[in-house]
Amino acid sequence: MSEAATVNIKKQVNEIMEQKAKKILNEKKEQNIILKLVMNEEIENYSVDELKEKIINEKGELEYEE
Amino acid sequence: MKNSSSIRFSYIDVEGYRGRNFKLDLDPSKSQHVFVMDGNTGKTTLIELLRWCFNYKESNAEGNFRHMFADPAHVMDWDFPDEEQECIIEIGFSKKGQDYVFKRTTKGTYSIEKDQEDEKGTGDMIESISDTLEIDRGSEVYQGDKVNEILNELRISPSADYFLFDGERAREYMLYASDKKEVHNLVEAINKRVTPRRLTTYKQKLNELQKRIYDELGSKASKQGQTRIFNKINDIKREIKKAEKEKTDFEDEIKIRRRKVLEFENRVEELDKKIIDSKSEELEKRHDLEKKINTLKTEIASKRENIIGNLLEILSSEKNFNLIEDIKENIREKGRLPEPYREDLIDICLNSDPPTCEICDRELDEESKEKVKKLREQVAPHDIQNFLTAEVHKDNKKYDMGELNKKINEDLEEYEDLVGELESLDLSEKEEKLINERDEKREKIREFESEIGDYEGEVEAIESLIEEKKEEKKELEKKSKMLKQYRMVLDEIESAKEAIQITKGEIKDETIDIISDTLAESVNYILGDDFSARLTEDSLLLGQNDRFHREVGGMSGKLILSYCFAESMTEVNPMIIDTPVGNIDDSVREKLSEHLITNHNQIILLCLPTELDYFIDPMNPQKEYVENKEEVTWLL
Repeated sequence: MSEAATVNIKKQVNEIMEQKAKKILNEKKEQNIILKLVMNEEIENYSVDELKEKIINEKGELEYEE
Repeated sequence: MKNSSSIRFSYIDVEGYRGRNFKLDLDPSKSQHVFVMDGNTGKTTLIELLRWCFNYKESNAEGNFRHMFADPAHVMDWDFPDEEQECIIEIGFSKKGQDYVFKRTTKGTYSIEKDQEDEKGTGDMIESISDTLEIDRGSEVYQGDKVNEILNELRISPSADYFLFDGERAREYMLYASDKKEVHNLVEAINKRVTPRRLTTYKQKLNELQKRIYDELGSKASKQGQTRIFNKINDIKREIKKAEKEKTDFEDEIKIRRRKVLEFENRVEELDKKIIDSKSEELEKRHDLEKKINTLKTEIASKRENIIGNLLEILSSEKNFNLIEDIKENIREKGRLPEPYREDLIDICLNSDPPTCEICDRELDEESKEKVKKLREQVAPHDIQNFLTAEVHKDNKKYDMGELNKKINEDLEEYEDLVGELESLDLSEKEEKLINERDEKREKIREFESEIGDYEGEVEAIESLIEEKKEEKKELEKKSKMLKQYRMVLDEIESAKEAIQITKGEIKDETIDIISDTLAESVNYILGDDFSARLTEDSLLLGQNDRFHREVGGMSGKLILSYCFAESMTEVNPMIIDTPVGNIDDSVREKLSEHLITNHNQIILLCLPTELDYFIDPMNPQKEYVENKEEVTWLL
């Protein structure tokens, strides 16, 4: 009887999934300020205006499109 | 195998369900609990009541209890129709050292009448369903739908369809795995399972942020809202352009007229010189005389018209009309116009003492008095005399006809003088031509200047419109810029969601492989070396000797596969199983028992007495107690 095999059903599924998700998202969060704030559990601390400012500071103001 | 972070049930107590009571007391320190119960003693009911409690929040619970294929099924006791009843389901469990007590209380009556009337309904007349969740003996208490939210966070609700396992659930999975038309149910379950909780939480937070922005901006934040503003700006730009073109056109017209005015003024100046040079004085005089004569003609005509008009109006007034009629009557009666005698004079003569003629101062004898009295008959009525002697008035305005006539005569005299004077002048045709041309030019200049004035008015109005539109455009551009900034946040949220979605996809394939491998390993352990299992995005198949097919394995194999699939889908550790062995071959029962023991920190089995052989021994169960007031219960 392989205890490891049975544990795998839940434990492996859960743990590997979570680890994998974290790894992939860690790479992606560097390109997305909002995602980064969500992952760092900081998003609730920002007002919409502050988020606007943060994005403009990082990405620059978009020009008005004629 | 113990894990303090895992959920462990401590008791399940049902009171008043269709008039029956069940209670399962569990020792949280022990891992395996086996309740041996005869058929129709509440095994399936227990599982279905738990599913109802965990799957449906308070506000959605009514009408959603299923039991033995009846959907919906009744909770109230039909043996006591129209009596007030109460069903309480209480479940105690612990997680991470905290104790929880879930309680659902359903109050109501059973109506036979309602049951007969309503084909798909039940006879339940539910008065209220209320949920409570108590943590650590009352240190925190939640009520209503919040209870289900917490059960969700604890992952009990999302796993309820898997860790509460019975024959019905097993059949369902077997059907899904065997029927291509039903396989989408498996896919949905797998898709839910392979989404890491972390991703769901992130997505939820992004949705909340998105909602915050939409709450602040309303529909304006949408791409359509922004496009509307953008289009409006373009419309205004076009309007400004059009107005500017119109303004330029008017300005061009003004320029043309100014040039003409200048040109004509120069010409007038030239003509003036020429007129002066060619005895222009006489020409001037004649011209002036002609002008005066024309003016006089107009004035005389106007005065005449005025007199006639006024007279007609005066004569046609009701009062004057009556007087005229009286005069006409008097003339008809007496054959002549009334004498201009005065009645007051007659009265003075007759009333003086002695009666004396006021004109000759002679005393009147009787004969003379009679004559004077007779004069009265010859005298016209007083108001006719008044009319003949009074001044003409209309609307309090005095009309002195004589004076008006006199003025007209004076004008006529002046007119004749002027005509005479004009006739005495002798002008050459050339001189006349010059003056006419100069006057025409002057008239033209006046026309141009009047047009310039009109055009300048138009230009001013257009300028004000342009100013207004520019202001409007500025405001919209400001708004658009603001929306663009909000849009940047929304786009960033969308992009974050997309990243999560991509991550989900990337993880999904890998997770399906992991689940597939573990299923294969478990099936292999329970059924033997020949057997395996394979999970893909659209199939769940049992394999024997590397041949994967939906007909492999028979009932026993499929039931084992269903177990393993349910285990891979649940996110909590305990497993509560109704009739766990069923049709499973004796040869694999022991392996299944071992598999269950090692896979779950708590296993609660509701067994029939016939299921114990080859299955119970590995459990090494403690003696458990089942309280059921009405049903016979086996205790191990």
